[in-house]
Amino acid sequence: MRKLPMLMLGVILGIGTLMGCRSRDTLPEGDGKTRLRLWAMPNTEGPKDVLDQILVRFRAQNPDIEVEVEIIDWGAAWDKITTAVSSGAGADVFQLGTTWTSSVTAMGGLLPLDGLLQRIGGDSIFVSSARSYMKPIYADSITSFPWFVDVRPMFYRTDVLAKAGIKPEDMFSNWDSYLTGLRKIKAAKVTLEGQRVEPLGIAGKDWNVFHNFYPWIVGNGGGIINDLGDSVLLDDEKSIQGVMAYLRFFREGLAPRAYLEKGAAQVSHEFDEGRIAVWQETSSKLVYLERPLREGGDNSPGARHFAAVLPPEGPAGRKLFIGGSNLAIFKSTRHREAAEKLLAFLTTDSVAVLAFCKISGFAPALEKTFQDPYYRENPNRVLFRDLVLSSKPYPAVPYWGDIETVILNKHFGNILDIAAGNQAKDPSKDKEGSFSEEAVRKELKTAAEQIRALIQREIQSNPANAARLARLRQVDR
Amino acid sequence: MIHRLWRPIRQYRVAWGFLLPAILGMFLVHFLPLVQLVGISLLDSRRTNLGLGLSAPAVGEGTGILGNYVSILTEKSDPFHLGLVDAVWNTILFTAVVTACSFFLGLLGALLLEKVGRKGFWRTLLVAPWIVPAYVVGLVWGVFWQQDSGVVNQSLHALGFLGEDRSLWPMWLSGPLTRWALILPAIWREWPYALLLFSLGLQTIPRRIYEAAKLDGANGWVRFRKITVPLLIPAGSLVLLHGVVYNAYSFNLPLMMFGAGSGNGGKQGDLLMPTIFRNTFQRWDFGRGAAATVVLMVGMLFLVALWYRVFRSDLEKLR
Repeated sequence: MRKLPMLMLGVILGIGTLMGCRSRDTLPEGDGKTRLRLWAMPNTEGPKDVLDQILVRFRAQNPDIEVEVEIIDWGAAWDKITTAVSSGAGADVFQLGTTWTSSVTAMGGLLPLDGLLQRIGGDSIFVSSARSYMKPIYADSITSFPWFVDVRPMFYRTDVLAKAGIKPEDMFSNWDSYLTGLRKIKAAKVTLEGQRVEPLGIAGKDWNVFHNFYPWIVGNGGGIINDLGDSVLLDDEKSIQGVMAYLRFFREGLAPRAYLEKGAAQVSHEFDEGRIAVWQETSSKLVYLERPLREGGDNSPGARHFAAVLPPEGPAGRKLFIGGSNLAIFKSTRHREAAEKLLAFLTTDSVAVLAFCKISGFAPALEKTFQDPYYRENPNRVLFRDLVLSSKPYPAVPYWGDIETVILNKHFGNILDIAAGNQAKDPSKDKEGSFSEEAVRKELKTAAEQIRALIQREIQSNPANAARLARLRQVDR
Repeated sequence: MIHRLWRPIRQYRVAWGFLLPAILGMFLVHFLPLVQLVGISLLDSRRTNLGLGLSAPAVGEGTGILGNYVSILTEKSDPFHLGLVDAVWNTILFTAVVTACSFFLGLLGALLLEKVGRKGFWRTLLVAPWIVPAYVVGLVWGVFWQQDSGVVNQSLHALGFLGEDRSLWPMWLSGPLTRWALILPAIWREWPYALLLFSLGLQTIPRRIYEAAKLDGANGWVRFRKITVPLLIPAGSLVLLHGVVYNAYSFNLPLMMFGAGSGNGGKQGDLLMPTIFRNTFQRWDFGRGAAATVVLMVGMLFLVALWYRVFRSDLEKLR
């Protein structure tokens, strides 16, 4: 008799365990509605509410489609998306960081969107610099649509420049005038509201370490890898001199060395608090700086006396970093038609795109959005389109993620450590903790060798990639 | 042979019955994943064939079955290799210094605690850093070490060790000082654990042994050398074992201390676990990530075996 209760307990526990393991791939469909799952990262404050608010019109237009928004943290997103691609169990529509698009496309888990693109009028509806990730270099099809782009204007303190006698249009014209302007601010020893203002803020070894260097490398005519992604440019003289041009800000004391130990959020706060005159950050900073006091805005010196401007032009032109996110559909979706409708709404409906960009502060990828007075009439936002058009995306190769996250972030972090050191007395001797151009060159050479080996391995390990690359090389010629 | 194995099982079948769920659990949770780890280290398992899982092809032709091991240990152009070389030296230094300092500070603290009243109160107070999660320690010390505004440089300035010019103050999170920026908080967090174990060890030593030695004319130093040290060896061996394993596998502290959570400690601040994590999970390079983990695990097994050989006789006395 005693066995019976134990058996029942075992059965209950077993069923409970199995129920706990039940997949969340599918949502219950009892009312005839098609239920979609949308994975997005926290791009705004209250991200779920924001997306639900934007989707009100979509739901009204498509009463037979229900959308469940799930917010996934940026830190977990890469794992979750790649796991979903390999397992075939994920959401229907999902957000994808632009530099991830090639890798995830190469994994073969994304739905081709060529037909949808044709129906909406072709890729020219998106700004040119946002198009390269739609169809990565080794891909046969369009696999994602650009949603928004991350571009980075320069923010400066209007009162500091006025006190130092500098005209912004002169200072931010080119690299030489920019350097001259920063030196003038330093020489003027500006003190405002009881605080000494340093000329420039640059963040140290955080997630953005390579993004910060990038415009100085390509702006000088250098690069990391070529557009086809099959040859390395990082150890070219122009790339090296671009890196040295960037490091000069620390070496000359134009940017405090202490910032080498701070992340972007900390240095951004230094700008708000009035301790730096010039700072470059993603365009969403404007949402914070422009927020009226009655809506919880900031009354800091940075918020009271700021303006945004295009970064200066380098010897090879103005070539800026561009990031952002695309939207894609998992191949495993059981609701292709509905998922395409949702993706098209979020990326090509100008009202939805504008609403999202107004709240997030990111720039739109949809070209016609820039015609809205929101962008044409605001003196800070009027430069967003130029920022987008002046940007140069990273090559859309599947191994860019490996290059950026493991090789570039490591070696450029090391370069910042070198920049923090005192000038080496004998540059030929590689003394730990001292600065010399030789030490920086050595670091870049090592990084370049590693990228070369990685590219070789990637191309060799995939014969299909090698064949496609050969075709692309012919077209390129 | 089978009969010889079967006899003790039959003899103690009730005890084996109770042990069976634990043995099965150990097999499923420990042994199978270990075998799987070694298996993956022989595969060319990477981002492009992630969906294949354990069916991924074996490491490519020409490199041999141990290609992943050869690549991470010898190929200079392999990003994993270069990161691993820096990380191995940093981890050895980190583990040795943190374990040794925690050991001696813990011992000293435990001996001092024996001399003061309200032992429970002081022990609770001193153990507080140990209960702070390592990632919180990393985040907080990442702020403490800041050159211009961190509490460390501010304190050194207030004590007269640093001048007025802040630009000349030491940079703890960049360059060679990074090693100490990692080591000091790790000691701060870990020595209370050593103190706790040594305190417990001291409490197990019968007072009458000290009293007898005192009657025989042994002074304090002799009593410490001849009674305390030998009887504290079991506790000390556990402090050592825990210190070596825990510090060699240190992850949260370096990850959170550098670059606002980006874990980029640079040439002097990168430890093994963050390096393996970055190379394995940010690139989905499972084959070589597993190979690096197996190498680390074998190294740790060797250290544990060495530890057991050195302390076996002392541990057996505890039975």
